[in-house]
Amino acid sequence: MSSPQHIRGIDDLGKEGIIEILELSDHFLEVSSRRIPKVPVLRGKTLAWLFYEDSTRTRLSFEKAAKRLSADTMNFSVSSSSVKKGESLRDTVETISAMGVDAIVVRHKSVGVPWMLPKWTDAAIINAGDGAHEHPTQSLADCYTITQKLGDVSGKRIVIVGDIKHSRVARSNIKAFTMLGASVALVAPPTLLPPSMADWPVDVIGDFDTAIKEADVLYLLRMQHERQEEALVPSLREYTNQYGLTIERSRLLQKSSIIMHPGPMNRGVEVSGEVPEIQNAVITNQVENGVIVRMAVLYHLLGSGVTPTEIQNEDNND
Amino acid sequence: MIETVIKGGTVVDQTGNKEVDVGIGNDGNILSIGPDLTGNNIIDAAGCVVAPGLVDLNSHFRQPGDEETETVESGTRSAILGGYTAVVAMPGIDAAVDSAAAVREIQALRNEALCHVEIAGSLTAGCKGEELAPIGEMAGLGVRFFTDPLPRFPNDLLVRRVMEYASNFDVTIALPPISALTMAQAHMHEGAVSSHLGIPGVSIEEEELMTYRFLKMCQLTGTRMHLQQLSSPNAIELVAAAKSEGVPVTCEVSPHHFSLTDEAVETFQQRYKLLPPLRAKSHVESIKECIVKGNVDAIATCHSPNPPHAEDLPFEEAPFGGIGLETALAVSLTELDSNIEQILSLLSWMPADIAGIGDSHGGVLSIGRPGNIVVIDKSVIWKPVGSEMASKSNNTPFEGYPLKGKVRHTIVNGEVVVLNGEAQR
Repeated sequence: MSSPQHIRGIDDLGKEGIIEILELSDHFLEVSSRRIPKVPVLRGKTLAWLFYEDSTRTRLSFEKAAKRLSADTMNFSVSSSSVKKGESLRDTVETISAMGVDAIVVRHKSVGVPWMLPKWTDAAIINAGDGAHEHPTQSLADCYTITQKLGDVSGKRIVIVGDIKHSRVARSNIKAFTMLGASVALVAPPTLLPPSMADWPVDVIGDFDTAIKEADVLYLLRMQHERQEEALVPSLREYTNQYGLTIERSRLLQKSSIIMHPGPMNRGVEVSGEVPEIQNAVITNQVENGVIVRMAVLYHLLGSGVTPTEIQNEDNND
Repeated sequence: MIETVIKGGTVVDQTGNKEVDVGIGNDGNILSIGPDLTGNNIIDAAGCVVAPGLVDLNSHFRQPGDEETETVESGTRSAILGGYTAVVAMPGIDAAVDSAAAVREIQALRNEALCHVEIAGSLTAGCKGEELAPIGEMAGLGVRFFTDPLPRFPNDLLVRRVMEYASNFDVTIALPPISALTMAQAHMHEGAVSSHLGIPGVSIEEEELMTYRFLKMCQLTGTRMHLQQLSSPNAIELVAAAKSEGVPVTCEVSPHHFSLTDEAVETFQQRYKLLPPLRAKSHVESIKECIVKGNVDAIATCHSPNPPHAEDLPFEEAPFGGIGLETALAVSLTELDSNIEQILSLLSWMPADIAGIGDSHGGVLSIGRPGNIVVIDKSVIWKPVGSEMASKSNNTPFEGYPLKGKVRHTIVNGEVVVLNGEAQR
């Protein structure tokens, strides 16, 4: 397939694109396991981080991926920059663009920002999260992790639990999982579901105990403390009782199922404090695979000249 | 002596239509109506509709306060190009008209206007929804229309107080059934599109509830009310039912609410961030039916210019509003399954009566009345381009939208201010 110019949402990739990234990821998994896990495929390319929202995990993951590919990176620190002095998004993007960048990785609290950027720059745009809309690279990491652990995403029952309404991870994952042929069920308090879901390709299940028995993948979302103040849930205690992974509930899980979480997890909320250790959790795999798929994403958008099977360490490259 | 003759068109007004010329005298009033008139200045209206000028009940001109975005001059130039001979200038959310001094300041700006500007006063001090504005004092200066463009009423009691207090004056209370309190968190219509995008929305039921509450207060106090910017077909039905019980209420809708849907928000462009928001396709279709059935009293633009940088803002950070004066007539002609008489009644004589200026605008083209006239070519096909409009703003939600029908000439008090689609001043 022809490479997409941007990865702003799952629809920029489509099913073919997702599969291609997952296949590429196998090569980068191999690269990452080498003694020197660094290859020169993006040497001379420049990436800019434009994070308007706090992010440690996603930014570090991109940073690590870029370094393993030998790309140069620039961090536009929003909190200590001209943005604080009122510089507009447009001026910031045009400034970064003028310095010469090949890709901009952007996170913003407002939905749609990655779709606005191409008006002001020729750089490839990678969405690292826009409001409650999309977070495609998290989704790719999750698809890769499921493929690794369960062989395939297709045919799996994936139960997503929690604050779907405010979750960009849920929106991207529902698209990606169903594109790849999984069946998705959602479990959430009705106040934390999107208001209109008639055209969503999912089942909404009110009772967690019913849904958990079906799950090949139990995907827990982060529950934010603010939701209590917004009167969306009565208390976090009640949330944990109804929608958290308690000891009793964890016994209903199939032995082969895996438990996922995009992080950072609120211990004692999504998972009850009484659960000493989450059996079958693949949360650290998701983090590891985050770096791998982001390498694949960057290579997919910016790599040229080398086919993945020929990827060599610099010192072997003679 | 006839100064100007509008020649060869079909006159359409409140009394019907006839193929006659219209002659205007030196004093700006209509001097003669009939076949084969001659005069010093012949205006060609062959194949066109000649009608009383349009009247907009809901324009925002941003002056005083934000002259870089729009002024009375640029806003009224936009108005005349759209066929308007009178507009009601709304108080700003940040520029309340809540004192005699504020009214006089805008009255002074009328010198720069290219058409009649009727002033709407604020209902509450600073449009804050806390204390009453001096409605009586402003009514004494000729203000007949009072509104808070984005109401902040904390409860129904204040609405009741406002309406009770105003009942002693011959004024109309205009309100959109929107709450600033609700809209602080919402950016679009709540529905399938908002759910996919993850953008917080406001439900159409909110508008229906608020409409019902306003109607009850109107019934209770007997004060004349004009409901602005209805985007819910159910809300329009509620108004129609109240009217049939004798409640003194009228209502308006905006062209974008019977033409565009919330799917436009998928482009994340500010020009589609409107208040009330663009609704779902089914609502848009039903609104059209409500209009054709005669349950709507006026089409009003809610012309809301925004500064150029607004289009670069992320959708959730962008201000509400789009411009509408130069497209309202064409959108109505294009989208509504109504005859020209009904469209003109909604754009000219009914709003003129609601604004209380029916003696000089709207109504009929008859001898002795001021020459406030629009000449419309119904056959012209065109596409709006925001950057080419007279408004200082470019934020038209109809950018590139194919439209049928355009204003050829506009005459304000006998002066030809738009000739062949070009503003003359």
